[in-house]
Amino acid sequence: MKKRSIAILAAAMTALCLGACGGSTTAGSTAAGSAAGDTTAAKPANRLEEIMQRGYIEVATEPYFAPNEFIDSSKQGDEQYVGSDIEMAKYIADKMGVELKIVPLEFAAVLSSITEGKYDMAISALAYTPARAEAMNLSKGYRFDAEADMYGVLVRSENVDKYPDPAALADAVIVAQSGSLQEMFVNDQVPKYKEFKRVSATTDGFLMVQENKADAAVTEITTAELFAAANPGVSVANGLRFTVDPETQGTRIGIPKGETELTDKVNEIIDELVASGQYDKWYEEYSEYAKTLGVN
Amino acid sequence: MIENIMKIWNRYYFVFLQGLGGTLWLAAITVFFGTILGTVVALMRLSKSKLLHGITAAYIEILRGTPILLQLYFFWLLLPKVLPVRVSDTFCIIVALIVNSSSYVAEVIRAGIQAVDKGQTEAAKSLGMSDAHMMRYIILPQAVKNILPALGNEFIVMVKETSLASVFFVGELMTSYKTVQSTTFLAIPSLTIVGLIYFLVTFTLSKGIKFFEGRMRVSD
Repeated sequence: MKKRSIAILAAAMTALCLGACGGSTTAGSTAAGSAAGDTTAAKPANRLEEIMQRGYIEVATEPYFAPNEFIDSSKQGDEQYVGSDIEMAKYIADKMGVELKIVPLEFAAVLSSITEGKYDMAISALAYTPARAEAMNLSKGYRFDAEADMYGVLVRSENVDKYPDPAALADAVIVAQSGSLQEMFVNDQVPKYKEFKRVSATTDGFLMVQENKADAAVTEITTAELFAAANPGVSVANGLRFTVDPETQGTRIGIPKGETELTDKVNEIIDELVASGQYDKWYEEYSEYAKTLGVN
Repeated sequence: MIENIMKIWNRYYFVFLQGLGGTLWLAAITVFFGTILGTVVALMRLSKSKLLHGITAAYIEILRGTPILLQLYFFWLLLPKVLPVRVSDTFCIIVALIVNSSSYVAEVIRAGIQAVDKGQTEAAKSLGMSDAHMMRYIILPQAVKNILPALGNEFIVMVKETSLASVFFVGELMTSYKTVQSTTFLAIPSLTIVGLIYFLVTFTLSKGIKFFEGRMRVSD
C-alpha cells in the first residue's frame, strides 16, 4: 500500500514536470542547454550579450490587441500569435540571429515583466508615457500616423456627434486602459469629466460603452473600428481626436531599464523598418487578417 | 445574440474545449499536490511542538489572508529569482496555486482530524499504541470520511480560482474567452459560452460529491 502510494506520487510528479514544461516545451529544453553553457562561458556583461549567448529572445505581449498582436486559434504554439508587432519581433530576432519566443501576458503583467527584468522586451503597441520612460528603456517610435489622428474615442452610435472635442466630455463617463497612453490623454487633455474608469484591457472599455456602463472609451482608432465593425450600436466619435506630442509620438518597444546596448541594437533595426515603410505594410496586412477571424 | 453564440461556438469550440481541459488539469494538479502539502501542514499544526505549530499557523493565516491574485504575481516574479534553474511561467503559477490551496486544505484536514471522537484516541492510548500508530490506523481512516467531501469542494473552488491565472496566460478557460473575444470582438456571447461551461462543470461536480457523501454515510 505504501509503495503504491509512493509510485502514484512519483508518477504525478513526473506528470507535473512534463505538464509544466509542456506549456513551453522549447523553453524547457533550451533552459537545460543554456544552464550547461553558463558554467563554461563567461558571465554576460549585459542583456544583449546574454541573449546572444542563450540563443533566443523572449518578447512579452498582450495578444488581445488586433491588428498589432492577436491570436489565430486555428494555429498551434508560437505560430498562433500573429499581427504587425509579432512580424516585427520576428524581424528583430532574425536580425539578431537568435530564436524568438513569444510570452503572452495581460497588459499590466507585460509592463511589470519588463520593469522587473523578467523578459527581454515588450512589443505590445506601447506608446510613450513619462511614467513608462521612467520605469524602462523605450526604443524609438516605429509607427507614426501622418495625419496624427491615431487616438479618439469609441461611443454608442447615437452619441457619434456629441463629442466634437475633449471639452465636450464634461458630463461623460470615460474609460481607458490602466497604465496606458490613453489614460494619460484623459489626465492631460480632458479638462472635465463626470467619472474616469480604468480597465486592464481596452476591449473591456469597449464593452462598457456598449453596455451603457461608460460613455466614451479612449482608444487607438484602428482597433476601435475593428470592434465597431463586429458590434452594431457603437462607433468612433466624429471630431474628437487626441493630440500626441510630436516629441513623444510613435509606438515603441519596452526594454528593461539600463540595457543601453540592447536598446541601441533595437533602435538600429527600427530605423531600417521605418525607412523602408515595412511596418506600415504589416499593419495594413494584419488589419485585413484580423477581419477574417470574426464570425460575421 | 443566440445567433452570435452559435457562430462563435461553431468556429471556436475547440478553443473553449482546450481551455476546459486546461482548467480541469490545473485544478486537479493543484488539489492533488495541495492535499499532500496540506496534510503535512495540518499534521505540523497539530503537533505538540510550539515552533511547528507557530510556523504553520503563520503559513495558513498569511496565505488565507492575502488575495490569490497577489500571490500569483508574487510567485510569478520571485520564484524564478530564488530558484537556481529556469522555470516556466506555468510552473510558477502552478506552485502558487498549490501553496494557496494547501493552506485551505490544511484547515480542512485539521478540522477533519479533530472531529474524530476523543474516545477513539483514549481507546488507542489504553491499548498502548504509539502516537504515529494511532494516527495512521485509528484517527486518519475515520478522518478521511470527514475530509473527502470537503476536498471535492476544494476542487470545485479551484476550477473557478484558476480563472485568475488567465492574467499569465496559462491556457485555461478564461484565457479562451479572452482569445476568442479579442479576435471576434464579441464579448458577451463568448462570456456566455464560458459561463455555461464553468457552470455545467461545477454543477455536475457538486452533484457528484453529494452522491458520494451519501454513499459514505451508508457505512456509518
